Amino acid sequence: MNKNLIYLILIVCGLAIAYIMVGGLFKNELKKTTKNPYEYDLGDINKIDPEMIKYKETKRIGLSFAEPKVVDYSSGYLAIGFENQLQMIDTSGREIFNKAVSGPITSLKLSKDNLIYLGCKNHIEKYNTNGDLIETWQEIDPSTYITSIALKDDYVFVANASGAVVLQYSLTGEILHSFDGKNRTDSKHGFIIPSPYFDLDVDSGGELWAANTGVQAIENYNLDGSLRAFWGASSYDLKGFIGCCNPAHFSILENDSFVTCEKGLVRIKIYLPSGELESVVATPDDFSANSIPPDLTSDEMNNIYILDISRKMIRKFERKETS
Amino acid sequence: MNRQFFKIVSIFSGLLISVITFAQQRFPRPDFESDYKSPSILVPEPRHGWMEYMDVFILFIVLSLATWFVLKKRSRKGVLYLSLFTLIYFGFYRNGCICSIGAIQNVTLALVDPMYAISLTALAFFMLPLLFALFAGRVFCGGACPLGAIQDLIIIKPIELPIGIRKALGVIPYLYLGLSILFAATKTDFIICRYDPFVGIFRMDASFNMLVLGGSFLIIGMFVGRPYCRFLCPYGVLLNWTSSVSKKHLTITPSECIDCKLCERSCPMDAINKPVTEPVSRKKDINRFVLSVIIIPILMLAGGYIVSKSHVYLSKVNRTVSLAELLITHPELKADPDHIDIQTFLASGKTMDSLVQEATVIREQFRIGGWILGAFFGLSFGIMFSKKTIYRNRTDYEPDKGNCVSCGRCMDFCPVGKEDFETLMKLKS
Repeated sequence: MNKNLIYLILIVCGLAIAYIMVGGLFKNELKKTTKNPYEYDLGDINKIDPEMIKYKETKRIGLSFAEPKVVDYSSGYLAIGFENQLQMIDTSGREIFNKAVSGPITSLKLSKDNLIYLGCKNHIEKYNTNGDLIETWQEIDPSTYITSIALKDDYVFVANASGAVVLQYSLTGEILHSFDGKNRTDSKHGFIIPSPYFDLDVDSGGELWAANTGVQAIENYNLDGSLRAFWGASSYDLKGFIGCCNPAHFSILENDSFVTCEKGLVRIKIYLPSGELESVVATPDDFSANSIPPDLTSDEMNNIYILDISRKMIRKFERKETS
Repeated sequence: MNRQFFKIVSIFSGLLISVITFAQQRFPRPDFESDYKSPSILVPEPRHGWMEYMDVFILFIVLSLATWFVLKKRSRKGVLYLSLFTLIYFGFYRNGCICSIGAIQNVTLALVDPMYAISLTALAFFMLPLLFALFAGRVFCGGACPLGAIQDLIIIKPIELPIGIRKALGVIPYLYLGLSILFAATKTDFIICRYDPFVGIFRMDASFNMLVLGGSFLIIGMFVGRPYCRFLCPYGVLLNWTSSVSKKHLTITPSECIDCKLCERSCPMDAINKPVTEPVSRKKDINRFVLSVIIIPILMLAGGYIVSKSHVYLSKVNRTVSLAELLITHPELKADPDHIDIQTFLASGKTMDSLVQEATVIREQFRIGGWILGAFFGLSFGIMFSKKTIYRNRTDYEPDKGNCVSCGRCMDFCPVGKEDFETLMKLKS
């Protein structure tokens, strides 16, 4: 190759390098006014087909204490856990009792006989229907963060989000067993809990279900902690769950369908027991912008009670009449 | 040789496979199905702690092998295959990060900011090549640097650059080293990483500018051996210093040089010193050396003064300084909803006063840093100048200990000790 041509190539490339490096370093990028190319526009995702919305809001119950956290329903009563307050009301909003507790309340479960299991960060407290403290179970360890309690016959299941484990207690507060969700045949991962959202519930057949939020799935476990079944998918589509850690909350209805709540883009949806999307209860437009994902529960008629944390109220959603 | 080589390759392949097997993500990335375009990531995903130590271990093994190939086996082929492994592992598999060159900035930041905790891996990547250079020369450049490896593979028609151009371009690494330390120390930018010309190629996500930058270096590299290593690499400056005083170093010939001149044109990096037997006037030589030593403090002072005077201009690279200036000169931009930087600042809740105060502190750091940087430039130029006054008689062709990157090409060219050569010599005798 001609030496002059080589020198020409070298000079051109050298100038290109100098231009990119020196020019780029001292170029004031701040002067440029540009639209953010990475803006996260959720406008289209917010839009939900009205045909899919099969529930309507029928009641709002205002709450009198600060920082509502969790809610549960049983036998006509709603128990609400605030940061340091426990309140029980009936479905009309009439207060049964309220009681200051040491807290901080992080989860709550009402049994069929209206005993209240209160998850206070790293231990469980048990209250009766008058709001009297019956038992305080032993603290697990300081790092524990209890996010959910589920009841099955003689067992109490407790979700510890910080350890990504489910603890199985006896009704007297003795830890019998714990499991991390690792399947025997595929132990690549068990529960993946990126944030303090790790919900549990038990269906009418006594099957334990857990929200494995890191993989956007709801999983069914045997008592020995082995994975039995799961459903769910990570998706922008209405059928799946969006983001890093969803569903943030779920509850199982009387017909064994699931009502789920997503964080980020707050969507409340109903899934059939098979995991197929059935309908939508509430859309992101029903909540304030940047809402904390609301805890939810349901009654015997499959009405949904949503704890709207931002607006400090319980919102009741009933299925629309079908012609 | 072949059997040993395949043994080494098998060991490394095994290691690589085991590393890949464990390199699963902590949890699956959400499956975004929208048309959202994610910003390209600046650094690869963090690895599990023990895998980072595995990288250090692999670097140590590669450096040891490179030393063995260069000093003991005298095998260019060995160094070549090793650099190929380096290119694949540290380049394409590890995405060019972590690298010893960029670690300069981590070490700098760790030295100036007690709140910055440097990882042991970064420290090891910074120290290991320098330690090896101290004992065996720049074996890191020859076999363990992915940036060196990619350039080494594309040398097609090397030309010898005029010595004046080489000397002039040889100053740039000192400037680049000084600036990268200044920008890292003032927490302005990690410019070595930002302008790594090959990282975009390793990650296959280069922007247009970085593609042009990397492409330009590769095109130049076809005719000028390892242009980045010789005329830009800031780590090369440190390696040059340590290698210059190395205990052992690559030698062109295994025994006595027969002055065949075959190696003369073998080095595409122009790092072979030719024999020098020019008569030297001792008195004149001493006078020039003394003068050059006297001039060093003057150069340092002058350098410090000039660079510190440029601190206002240099500090504009810092985004805090630049933002403060922009908001002072154009306060109306606060109302511009599309100006991301200004909107981010306003959303942070910081006051204008605190921003200006922060910018003033940074600018003062640039002023002090400018003095140190300028003095460093002055010292470097002074030493380079004084070196010119020292003449050493050389009877053999020798690698330049500071500039030689231990690629081993010259060893390949040297006929001494080769089977054919010994036969020829026997026949002749």
